[in-house]
Amino acid sequence: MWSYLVRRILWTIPITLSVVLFTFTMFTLVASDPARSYAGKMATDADLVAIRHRMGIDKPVWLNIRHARLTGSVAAAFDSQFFDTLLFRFPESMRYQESVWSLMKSKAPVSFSIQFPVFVIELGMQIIASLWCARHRGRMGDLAVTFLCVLGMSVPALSIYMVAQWLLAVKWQLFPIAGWDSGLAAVHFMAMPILVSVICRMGAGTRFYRTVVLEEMGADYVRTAKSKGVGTSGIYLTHVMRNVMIPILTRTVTALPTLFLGALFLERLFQIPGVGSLLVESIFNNDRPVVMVVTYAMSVSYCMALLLTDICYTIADPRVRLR
Amino acid sequence: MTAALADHPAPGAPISMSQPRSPWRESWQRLCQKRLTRCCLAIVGLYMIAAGAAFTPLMDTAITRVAGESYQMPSLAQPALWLGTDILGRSVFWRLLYGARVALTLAVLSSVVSIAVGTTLGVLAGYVGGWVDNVVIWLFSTVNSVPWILLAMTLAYALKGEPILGLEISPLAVVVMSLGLTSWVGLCRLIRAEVMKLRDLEYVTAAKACGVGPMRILTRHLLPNVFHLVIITFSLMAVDFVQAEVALAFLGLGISDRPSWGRMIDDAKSELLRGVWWQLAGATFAIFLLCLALNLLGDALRDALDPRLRERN
Amino acid sequence: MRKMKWIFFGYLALVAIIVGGIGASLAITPRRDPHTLYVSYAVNIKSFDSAELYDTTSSQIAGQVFECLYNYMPDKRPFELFPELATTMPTVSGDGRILSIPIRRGVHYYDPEHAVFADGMGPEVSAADFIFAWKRIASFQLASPNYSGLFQGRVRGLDDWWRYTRQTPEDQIDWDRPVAGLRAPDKFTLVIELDRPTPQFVYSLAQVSSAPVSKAAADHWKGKLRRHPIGSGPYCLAEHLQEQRIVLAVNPVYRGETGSNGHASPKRPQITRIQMEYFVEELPSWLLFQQGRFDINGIPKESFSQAINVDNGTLTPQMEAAGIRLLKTPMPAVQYIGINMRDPVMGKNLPLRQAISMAFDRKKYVQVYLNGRGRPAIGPIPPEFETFDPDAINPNTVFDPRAARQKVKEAEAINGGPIPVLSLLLPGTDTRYRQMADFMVSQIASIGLTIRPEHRTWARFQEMIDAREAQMYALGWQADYPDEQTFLQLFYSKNAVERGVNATGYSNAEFDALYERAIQLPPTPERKVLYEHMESIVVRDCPWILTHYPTAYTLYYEWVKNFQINTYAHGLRAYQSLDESAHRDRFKHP
Repeated sequence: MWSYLVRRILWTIPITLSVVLFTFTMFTLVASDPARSYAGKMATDADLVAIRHRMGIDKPVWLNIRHARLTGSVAAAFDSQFFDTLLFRFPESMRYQESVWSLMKSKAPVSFSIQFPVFVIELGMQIIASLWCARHRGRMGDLAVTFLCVLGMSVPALSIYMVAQWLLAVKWQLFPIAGWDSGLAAVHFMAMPILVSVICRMGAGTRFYRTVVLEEMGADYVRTAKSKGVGTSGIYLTHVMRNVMIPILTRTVTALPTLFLGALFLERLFQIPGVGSLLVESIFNNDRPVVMVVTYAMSVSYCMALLLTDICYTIADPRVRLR
Repeated sequence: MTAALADHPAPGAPISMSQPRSPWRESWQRLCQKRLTRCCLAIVGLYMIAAGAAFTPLMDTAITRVAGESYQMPSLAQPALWLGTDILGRSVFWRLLYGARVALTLAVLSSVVSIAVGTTLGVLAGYVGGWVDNVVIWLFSTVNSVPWILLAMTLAYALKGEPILGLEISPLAVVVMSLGLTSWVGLCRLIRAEVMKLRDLEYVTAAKACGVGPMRILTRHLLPNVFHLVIITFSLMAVDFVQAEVALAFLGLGISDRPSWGRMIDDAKSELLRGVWWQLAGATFAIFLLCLALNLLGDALRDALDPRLRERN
Repeated sequence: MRKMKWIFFGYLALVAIIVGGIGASLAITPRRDPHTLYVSYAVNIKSFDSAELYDTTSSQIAGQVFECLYNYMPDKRPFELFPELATTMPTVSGDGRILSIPIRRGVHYYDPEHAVFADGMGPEVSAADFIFAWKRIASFQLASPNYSGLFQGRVRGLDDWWRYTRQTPEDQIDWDRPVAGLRAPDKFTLVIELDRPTPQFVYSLAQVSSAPVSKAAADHWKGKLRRHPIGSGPYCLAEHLQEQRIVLAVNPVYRGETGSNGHASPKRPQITRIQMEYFVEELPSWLLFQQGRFDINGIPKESFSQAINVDNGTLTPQMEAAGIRLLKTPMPAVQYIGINMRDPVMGKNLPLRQAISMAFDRKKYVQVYLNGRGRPAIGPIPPEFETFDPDAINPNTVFDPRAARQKVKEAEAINGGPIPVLSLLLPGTDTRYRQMADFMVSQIASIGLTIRPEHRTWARFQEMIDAREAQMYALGWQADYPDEQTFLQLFYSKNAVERGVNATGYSNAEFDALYERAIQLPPTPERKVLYEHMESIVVRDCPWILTHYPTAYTLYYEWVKNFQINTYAHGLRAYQSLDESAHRDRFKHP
């Protein structure tokens, strides 16, 4: 097991490296000059030289071997940004002029406070709905729920958000239209985003779990349990649940890192100052440090989440051995 | 695969044994058995006709011509006004039809890119194995480790408006590339697993023993047997692409030079408030119907082509 | 089995708590403080460091915190300066190069956090603080975007200072090193020596970015000064969450009463708190405004007919009844489509430029796209300026498709064949630019030409303009100060260098000669004649296809008293007040 873990951790290195490399290349080689967009309409060359210097993008892009030989430190834009990011030595955001760490510290909890309740409510309701469907397989109820799920999956989420905002907040004034507040007062603004995203996400999950549960229902052990005289709820809650744990775990654990990322459109439409909005703004403003740190953190946590899933497997299913 | 299908015919599927038929034809018949699936096929067919019609030069003028006043309510007076008009008084209905062309072109082209990448990498990894397999695993783990929309956004942003090697890329091509190049992972995994299973089967070993070259084995013996996966994924991927176009348009990264459903929804975000619901309703319904048909069709295809494959990915 | 049941009930309890908590919070409506002004803002404020302010929104917000030597009288037209931190207008030497400015005594900095100055009240603002602030702007390490706009090539010795800071590591810079053109003979006298007479320089001293900076504060906060502004203005920064909220509180040591001939502001501003919420999209803030959560707001295009009677441009009765008032402000700005004069097709083809200009229906454009919020442009210098003549007729801006088609024929003769497809560069992909492009395409198509719109991000757009890669581009220009020169500089050929403000690359020897003469002159009738002559040259040569002069429509509730807009002035909130009785009647809040 330990050698497996070590191997898996080592495996994350090339993955995260290439993610950072990809982001950096994209933003350096193709996208436009961040100093230019910072400097404004009147900027002259003198301004730009100074701004580039402060942003640290006046250095050669890839390697600065001469400088390294002279001073013993790498000084190319890539080297410094790359290593700073990898070592979590958070660089300063170009757009916000604040360290990325302090930005994340203020934005991540906001995203999390929306996504976590959504995640909890959604997961439970999906599992309950899928169990219910499996139990009433083929009957009207099941068909109706399945059809609703496909329906929900087919409507663009954005349309649902927009209609909900218009109907619930503007027409009926049940919820605040948009906005955010710091501290506990934020709860006031959370209701509609949570409600709407739960509605949007119910479909896909329910359908997925329904398939998983149905697959298990055909298994031999269920027949055995039935013939033993175990009640229906007993079969569902103990026998089947244990066995569908693995697909559920895979789905949920890999979704964990995205809880901090927030939802891009939701946050933009409802004006929630979370990581999602931050990311969109950063991409549009070519704020390389932020995008690099976020993608890097995402890929590291994704790899960790996969590892966690593997470990969870051994707990959920004693037959699984990690080698 | 033929063997697998013959062993487990779908319930209620009488397979006539009177004359030998190709497995594809058999699958097609099985597909057409359910009324719902036939409906879905008809809907997709209708969209294709609409898209085809939108390629005519007549449509180019119809989408720019002023059909009525600014924001005219839908009326049944003439086809151009069935869905009202937009801010410039142009017909929303014609623009919606034109959107079908954009959406289907986008979905097909992105799928082609995605399938080409996914299939090539998947077959290579599964068949060759060893370090090639490791490289492919590394590649798809990398792509998978960052949320898909983030990658697509980064690509769309970076490619947009930038001449690459002196070539101007059209806005449609930018969206196609950014969607296609980031969505191949699921298919690649499926095919890799399937090829790994197949390459050790007797018929492949037999072919090898007969001295058939690796290229021929790949193209003649392996590819046809994973092709059903491609078809199933195709219909489900198309759903994602149509929806992704909406997302990109909302972020201002969509197709800027022609009307598209995503653009209409993006425009509607501010129009809705003054009571102009027809752009949003039209585009949403168009997307909804197409996606619904494709979703159901995907399921039906899966059941018809590969009953064992229940889950996506 | 039992375990599962517990998990199930635990889950239900968790959901109940979440739902209950959120539901309960909905019952609480956020309270309105009677002395707080609530507004929204749409551009993130990166910095409150005066040296780093350059966009309009930042300057407006930070303008409540800082004071400058001069400011504009809020409601005086034509615009007029009054001494704010100075005591008089500058005394100019005979050759126009040396300005000497006496500085007001007894004005103190205020530090709301009490971090730099123990009891909050800082030292008196002195001449040395201005010199320090301007050296900061002109220092390479700080990379202020204002250096070129305010000082480059203007103040004697300041460019040497820039070069000095470039060669010196940041921590070794000697801030006492003298700059020849910035001197303080005594604590309250500032002497500025310019390289050549520049009558426009005094306007720079009224821009918020030229505010004095206390060296003690800069040394204490270093790079973090942008989060902790310390100024002498009517307000101070109480809270700032990026892309979320800015709260300004009244400055308790604010002295009030401005210059002898200035508009007197009260000793203590009546609005004691300003709460600004960040909203990128127009619509949410518009809806919140209608619910009475914001006091002042613009009108989104889509909701225009809901707020304004389209036929006469007045408020609708519903708005009127809700206690909403309308303020129309003609902006000192012009919108245009610039033409790259170095482009082989467009540059040498005057009839082609004229044809496009004549085919563009400005009236319809303003009506359909701007809901009438603007007026068709006839020259590069907007109304509100002395030289503007509302009765002037510019044949190039009269909508005349027939004449335009005639011009196209001439243009084809010059081009030696049909005109190729032209490209129009737009700085964005959002609805506004898409619709503008659609309109342009349809207009130009009517005279038989084809335009291909190309949408780029703002940054890429600017790069392409800088590199002169665009054939035509949609842009606007807002005056930085009330002097026609701010527009005319855009056509001076020496400004056509890379990244210079003359983005069209227009060059005309006659214009240049007049320009060089005019910028040396103080505001005299002679200068006005020169300006008018220059404008007529530009109008004739048509390097811009003029579209319109924008007008801002701002709505505010009647309880905001003395609300006004002056795009040049800063610190206007100090003059405004809230009439709480009106507010209480309408919303019946506690």
